[in-house]
Amino acid sequence: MNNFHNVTHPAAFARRSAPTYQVCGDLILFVLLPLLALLPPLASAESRVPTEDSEVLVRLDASLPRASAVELHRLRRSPADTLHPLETVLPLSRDLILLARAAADPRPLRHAQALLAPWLAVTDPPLEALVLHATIRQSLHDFDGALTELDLVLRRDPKHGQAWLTRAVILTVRGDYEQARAATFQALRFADPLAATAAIAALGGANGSAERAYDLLLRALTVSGDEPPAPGTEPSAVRAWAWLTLGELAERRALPGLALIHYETALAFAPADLFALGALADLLLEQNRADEVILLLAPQTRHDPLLLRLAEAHRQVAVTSSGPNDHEGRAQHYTAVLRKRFAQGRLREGDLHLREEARFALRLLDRPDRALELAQKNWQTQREWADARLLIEAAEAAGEPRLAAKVRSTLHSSNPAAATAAQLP
Amino acid sequence: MNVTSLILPLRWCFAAVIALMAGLGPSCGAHQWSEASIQFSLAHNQLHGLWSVDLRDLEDTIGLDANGDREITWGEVQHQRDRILTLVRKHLRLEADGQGIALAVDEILIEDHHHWEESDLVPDDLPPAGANLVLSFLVELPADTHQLTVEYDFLFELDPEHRGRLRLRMDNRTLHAVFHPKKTRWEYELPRN
Repeated sequence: MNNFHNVTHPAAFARRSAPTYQVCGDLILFVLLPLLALLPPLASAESRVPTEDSEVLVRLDASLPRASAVELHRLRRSPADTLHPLETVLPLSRDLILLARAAADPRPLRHAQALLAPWLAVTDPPLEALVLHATIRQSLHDFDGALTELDLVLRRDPKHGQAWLTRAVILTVRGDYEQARAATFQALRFADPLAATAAIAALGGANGSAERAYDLLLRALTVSGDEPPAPGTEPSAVRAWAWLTLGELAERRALPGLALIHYETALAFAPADLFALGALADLLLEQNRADEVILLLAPQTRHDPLLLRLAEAHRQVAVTSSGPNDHEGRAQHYTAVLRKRFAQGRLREGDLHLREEARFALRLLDRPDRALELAQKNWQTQREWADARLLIEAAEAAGEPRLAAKVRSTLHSSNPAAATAAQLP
Repeated sequence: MNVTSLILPLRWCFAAVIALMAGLGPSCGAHQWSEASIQFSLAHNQLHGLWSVDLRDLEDTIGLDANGDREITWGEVQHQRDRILTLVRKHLRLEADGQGIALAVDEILIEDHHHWEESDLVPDDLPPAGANLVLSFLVELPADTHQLTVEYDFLFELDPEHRGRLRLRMDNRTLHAVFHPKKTRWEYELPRN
């Protein structure tokens, strides 16, 4: 009890050695101490006037708009199968889907799915609910389910641009290029022209014609207007996505200089886009420009995939530079942080971060066997170029050159042009 | 399905979301269950006050992140100084014996939140967990004021879960109260001089 005044936060208490449990002690431990955390801070204790205008006071995490968060909180108090009004459910589901993308986190998708579920059980479900639900299923890799729902929508409204666009994206992912092409043509007629063109370019890139796709998308971006949309708006997000896609097409064409410029343009439209930041950092790391990665990602330590790249950058500088510096110390420090976060992530979400974890094991823990195990598991669900390269790298580091050769030859035989252009190891 | 069909970036899994954004979709803002603190200390007829509010709450109400980079800088806060002052005058009101009194804000300060988790692992350059804006103000009460009324209704319209915690120090006592959507007004009898 004498320690009472020294304890400032329950977290500090958690590190205490095993206490002697008494009624009085329990009261302090379970009732009074948690209450301390609820007390408002003393405002004047550490108030200050910042000296630099550029000082960052808060980084805003991706999260729900306030009104939606409050609404979600309210809806969760009612039984799961309650049919809430559509005008509440649709915007809330949309916000959850957008949050999932902004945070690269699938969990909000499941919340949105639960919200929409009662509406899908009614006869003739509302079209917008179906499209949103299909978007979620696609994002969670349930491609068949998503297509079935989109077909329902298009049978009832053949001019639904968004349904055509989503259908085009899914068919591209599945490799059904003929049907995907047909869907993109319909999307061009009924959906946002830039988004539709980006979908066509993505199709071209996947289909081995990165060069034509690149030209097409570049033209669409050029004619989409010089007037930059306001940051944080939908047109700005679509523009950012199109430039990011263009950057990837440039990489497929082995034009890293152009890719770099395109990624930077994407970031000008969406400064906090995790995918664009990651793509740019990877390209810079490949070019041994770790110093620039450190500048780019130093403020991004909250996002595990970006912290991973930051740690790699410090490691890269430590290895290549001579003389005393603290880069190796930094790399080790971030490695410790990441080790803890990956462990927590695995407990919470299972195998959702396999790619990052494999990369972490390979490049920061120097454990190629573990990396190979994770990379192989990752390969079962994700087969992006980055996944292939990681698997090959891990296999070679783990002394499995035959496995590496097998992956390499699979890629070359299935899509030789793209494999060559991407300079697969 | 052949292997080719699977060689596509994970990002495409979110491409449909972009398709969604092309037609609909509001932008994401920040949210955190929030609390503000309002502190007064009365000495003679001078009332010194502090209103400490999370910058995220201000971002949600008046928007501080002018360039949309999801970072709020000190420069951006100063740029919105007038709107912040208007906001506090609108949502935090004082009356002395039923007569409204103007708040004269003399200082805008920043108070950092601290990381409590991973305390042994937090890198030096990890950004602060957040920050509060602290407005300091001084009010001169009429000499024979008997009753002080404090009204507060910031954020309630947007977030009914928001709470304003009031602390009033006077006459060697400290009084506590909480503002919530159903209780936006507290009255105090002042000690006789």
